[in-house]
Amino acid sequence: MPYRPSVGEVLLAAAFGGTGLFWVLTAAPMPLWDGFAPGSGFLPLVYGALLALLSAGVILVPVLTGRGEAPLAGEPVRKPLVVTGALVAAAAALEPLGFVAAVFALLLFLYAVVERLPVVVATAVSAATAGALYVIFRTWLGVPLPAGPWGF
Amino acid sequence: MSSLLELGSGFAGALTPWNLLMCFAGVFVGQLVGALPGIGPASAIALLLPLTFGTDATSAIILFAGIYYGAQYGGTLTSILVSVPGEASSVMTSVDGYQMALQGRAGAALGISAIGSFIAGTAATLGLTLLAPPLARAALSFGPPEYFALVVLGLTALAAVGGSLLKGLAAGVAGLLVSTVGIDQQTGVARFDFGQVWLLDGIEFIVVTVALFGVAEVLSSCTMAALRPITEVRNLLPTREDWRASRMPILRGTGIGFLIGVLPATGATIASFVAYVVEKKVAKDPSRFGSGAIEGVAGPEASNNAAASGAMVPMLALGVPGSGTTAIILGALVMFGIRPGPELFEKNAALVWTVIASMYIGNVILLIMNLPLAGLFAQLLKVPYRWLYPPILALCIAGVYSQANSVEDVWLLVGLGVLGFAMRRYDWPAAPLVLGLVLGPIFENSLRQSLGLSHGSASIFVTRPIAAVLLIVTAALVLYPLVALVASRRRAVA
Repeated sequence: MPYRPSVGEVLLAAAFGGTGLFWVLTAAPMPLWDGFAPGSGFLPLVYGALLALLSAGVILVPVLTGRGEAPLAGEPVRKPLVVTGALVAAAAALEPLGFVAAVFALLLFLYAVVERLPVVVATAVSAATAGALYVIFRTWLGVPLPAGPWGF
Repeated sequence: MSSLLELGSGFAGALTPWNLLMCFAGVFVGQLVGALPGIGPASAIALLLPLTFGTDATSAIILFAGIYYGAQYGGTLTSILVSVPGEASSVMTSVDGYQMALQGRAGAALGISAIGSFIAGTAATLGLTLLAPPLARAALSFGPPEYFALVVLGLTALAAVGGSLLKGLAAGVAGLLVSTVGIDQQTGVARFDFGQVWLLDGIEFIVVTVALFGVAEVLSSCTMAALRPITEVRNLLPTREDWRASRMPILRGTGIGFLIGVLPATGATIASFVAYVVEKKVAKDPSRFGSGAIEGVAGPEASNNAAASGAMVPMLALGVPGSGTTAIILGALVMFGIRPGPELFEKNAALVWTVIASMYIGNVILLIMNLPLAGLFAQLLKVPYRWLYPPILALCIAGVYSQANSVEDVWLLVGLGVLGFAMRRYDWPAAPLVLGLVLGPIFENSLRQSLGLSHGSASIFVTRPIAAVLLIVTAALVLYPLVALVASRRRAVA
């Protein structure tokens, strides 16, 4: 049976290949050669072209040779998507709410909603973890973590 | 002889209380992450990178090296007790190790693994002590063309480690491409900054590493089952009969593992596989393999530990990492402002020798931890992953934010984490991307300097013998799969 790559595989290769083409187009107007040595645009142009070619090869070579591995059995993506959504929300909340509140909310959501742990336990573990990270990074390492309206 | 003298001064550095603590912390964390499926040594090092800001480079590399070889010990626990290898290099151990556990001999399997790992780890570290310095000295005459060829070899070798050479090469080139973001150090031209001031300094190695090895691993593993039954561990000291059956496999595994570890494009996984095959070949009764033969545990375990130390030879002597984890350690060196490569033994001799000395100490600590405390570590396997991954994500956010106090880096972390998840899902290796990012500036500078030396002629890469040999080896790595494909097709037609 001929090898057929999955949609996700094609999309990933296309994303890499598209990035390569974008690099080629952006690097082309830059100086490509400067005296005896490459200019600022030379290597980005070469990297972009190589990435586009290799990404195309990732999809085309297994199709043409018929030696690709069978597509994955489709592991569930719902949970990784939910976790990604929580990460996006936490990143968005970092500046308005501050590090401690944003991370506490992220942990509480993951423990209580995604993993369905008891709310009291989830709240305690989330608070302890957010507090421990604050102590390590803010107090111990002196990192100016984003502060919310409450000053932490 | 001079190596042994240098090693003596390395021990003086490694035996300071702080470095001893870092060594213990490294092997302890390594043992833990090796045992826990869903987080590997590469992720652990990525997560701990931000916490090492402010410490000196030597202590940090001692910590990271400890995680690296400690994980080889830890991977054994899950392989034997639950038949779920914590590390890819422990896959072969699970074949016979789990069968031994089912027969009530988990203790003997873990005991011989710990002893074999200790012997192999120590012998391979001795090999590292003796082999790396002359290799680095021989490479000291390297100029820009040789550095250029070394970077090409390093990237290609790492790309060849995984399943698909094309995907590995594409990932490596993607890393080089990302390294061009920011101000060109030679010309001052801003490249691919998209009008964003925070991109002028380029994309940090730490952001990419934490995203591809921390966030991506969590996204890939968060669907894992919550709890597994754990076999009880008793009688860890092997019997006289076990020892008699295991001593030659341990010696063979040590030799095989070290040799394979030293070679670029190989690693602990291949080493343990080869050791298992060799033991099966030399066995009087190969039919016992797969149903609880202790030689099938001793050989691969010795081999994967020897390979871990062996992989440090090209990493320290040439700046060519043999595995994903050593690629990240190499990146950490660069992060601390240390140029990897042959000059490391000259300019940072104290660091190198202290790290090597710490590896001897770490192996002793691991033996102590694994013989009396194996049962305790086995209990840790009962912690479900659902308790672990939320704090890991929080640590990723805090760590990445802390390196430049930048929320933009946190957004980059999320985006690259999703990319890393997709790469794992479709079997694209992430390590070449990280290595490309780390080596990109060295690659660009050495190319420019080489062409400057030759007045723009590319012939400099083939007229300088060492550069030519390195590029021939690179070409062989790329062409070998193609030749193998054509040969197998011809055999199929015939």
